[in-house]
Amino acid sequence: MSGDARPRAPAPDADGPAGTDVLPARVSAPLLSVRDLRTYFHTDAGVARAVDGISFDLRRGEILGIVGESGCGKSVTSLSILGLVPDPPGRIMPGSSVRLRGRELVGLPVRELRAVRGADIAMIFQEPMTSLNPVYPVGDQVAEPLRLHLGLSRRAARTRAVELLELVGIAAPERRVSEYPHQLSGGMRQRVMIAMALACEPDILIADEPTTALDVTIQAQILELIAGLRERLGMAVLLITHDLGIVAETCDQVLVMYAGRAVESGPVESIFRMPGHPYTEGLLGAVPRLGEDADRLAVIPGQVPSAYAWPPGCRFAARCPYAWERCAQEPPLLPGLSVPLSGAGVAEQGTAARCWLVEEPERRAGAGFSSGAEAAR
Amino acid sequence: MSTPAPLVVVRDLVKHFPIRSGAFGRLVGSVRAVDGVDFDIHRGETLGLVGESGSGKTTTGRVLLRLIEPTAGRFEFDGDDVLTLDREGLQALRRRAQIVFQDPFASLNPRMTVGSALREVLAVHRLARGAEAERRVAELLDLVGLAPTYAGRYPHEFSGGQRQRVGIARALSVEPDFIVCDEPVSALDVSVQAQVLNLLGRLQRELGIAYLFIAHDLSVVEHVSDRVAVMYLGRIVETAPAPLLYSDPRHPYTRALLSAVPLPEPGARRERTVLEGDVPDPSSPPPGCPFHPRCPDPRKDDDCRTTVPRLVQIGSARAVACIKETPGAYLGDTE
Repeated sequence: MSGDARPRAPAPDADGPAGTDVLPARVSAPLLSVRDLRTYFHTDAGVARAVDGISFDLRRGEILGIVGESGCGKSVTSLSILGLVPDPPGRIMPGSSVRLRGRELVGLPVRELRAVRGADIAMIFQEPMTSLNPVYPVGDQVAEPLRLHLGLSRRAARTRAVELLELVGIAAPERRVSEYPHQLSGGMRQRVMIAMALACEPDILIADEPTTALDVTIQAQILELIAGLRERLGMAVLLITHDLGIVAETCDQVLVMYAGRAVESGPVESIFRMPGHPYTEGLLGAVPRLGEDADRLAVIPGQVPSAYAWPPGCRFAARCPYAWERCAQEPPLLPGLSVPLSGAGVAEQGTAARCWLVEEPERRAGAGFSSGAEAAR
Repeated sequence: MSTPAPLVVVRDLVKHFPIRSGAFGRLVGSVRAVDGVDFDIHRGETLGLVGESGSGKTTTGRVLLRLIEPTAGRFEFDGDDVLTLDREGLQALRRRAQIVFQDPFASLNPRMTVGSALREVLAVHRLARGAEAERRVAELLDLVGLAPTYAGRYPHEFSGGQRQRVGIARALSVEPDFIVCDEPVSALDVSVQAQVLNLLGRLQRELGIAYLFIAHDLSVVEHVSDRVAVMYLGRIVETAPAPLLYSDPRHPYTRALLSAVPLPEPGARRERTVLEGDVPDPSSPPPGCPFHPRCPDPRKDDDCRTTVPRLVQIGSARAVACIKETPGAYLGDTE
């Protein structure tokens, strides 16, 4: 019933050079390895610890979803990977590590980072209109990284641009290359952004809320496109979203963020079937589900604390229906992520939750999210 | 049991926005935002209006409160013809029909405390003054789940969900019978969205308010609505009681729309109809059925391309505008 049979991980032979492909995908060396990433913003109001110790691995051909609500730090995480956080006020703190095939990206000179951006890791954003230059034809913009990173001639770059537009499903690409962004619909602009991102055949695509500004039928087209490109090109995708439906339908692995930290991570199916962290449980209960006539929705009371002053102990404790004294005092750990996840010791179905309930599961009994108190005073 | 007369009756509602061009503002065309819409809403009932951008759902909501003047059509509120109301009549209407907007921040004056914003409404409609108004403001804030002490705060001091509560409190201040909710939760996070949806549900049960709930999120609409109308390019293509519409959609657009919603259940992936292309430009809608260029299964003859289907009742509660469902039901030939 839970769809375990659904093929999610790519074929093993999509994984690295011949000789290593006997290993299952989850055990192979990660393409991107993030450890204890902390990005703080130093402002007049104090230090906002937007991302406060995030660790995860991304493997070839894998789609990892980072899910969370506004202000949880998911976008800053993705920007930090490419060194795109404005500094000042933002700063990636010492001890943070982002490794691309073993090579440390944190602290890399801008020149070298620029070579990584677009060529190894490409990124697409929520609002394609603001990421496209309105005064250049879209073809020129798709061709730019080809000339910059691959040194193609103007003509060769244009030919490739037409191919790329075709790859992302734009009809009549020969005509569209000379059109300007304002002549395209929102869905087509997002396709152009994806074409630009794919131009240099990156190993990793970071998609930050790629469909949030789009209608649901267009969203379906774009998600289908991203999943298809993963299949065909073996690309790894880091998908940042607030939509649990998108995670369930497109991702293999998921990392749930709350208050600058990962509260839960693991394979999508395990986590949606049995969320280990109360926040994940609350989120899943708060979503109205198509075809299910729930009278009331579960409510997570209260609000996210301020990034300027995360509470000691568990950051979710004040909103958690299960919390007890320990939660307010001792910050729980995320087991499995304090040690390298990539080791073969981690079980295939391994999920990890940053919650004391893992140690005292009996406290779950008799408590839970209610739907009654919709008031958030 | 005789059915009581509906609170809201809308017939053939049309709103075309003129497109002007050049120095003299020559009329060069029109955007047919709403192109002949019919529906009823009963007391205490929620009609969900769903559609994608450009479907005309927001324009429909605004026309009902005459925030936008319609081009043609009929709209009766509790038996009164709203479209012929004078200034005073309109004022009286707005005491009974209110609107909650998507972005509560943009619709609240940043220089006014929440208390004074609410008192202003009470004063404009001559509902309460002085100490009585103070008492009423506290009552309203309490009703939407905010502490009465929040009356002294400014909009920027509130979170998104709290601001939307203030927007709802403002709409409630006149004790309306009917509220147009225009994407009231689409700017909110899931957990906060659930709070606001539950609040709207509770208010309806306690106060018997009717809602026109406009949203693009089909799961949210299903959750709150008694009946649902699906709009495409200015027309209603299907309307039915929510459980029926979601379990057995008849119009190909409704089907595609439902299948496009990602479900938060891994492995539940259904057969998905991915529609090709975009919603056409409402200033030059396609001839025939507005949906035919994207329809996954149009009729083999040319009827879908040449004739405009009429919204036809099938069964007791459902209506569909598709000639495959109701052959022969045309609005007439291509205009």
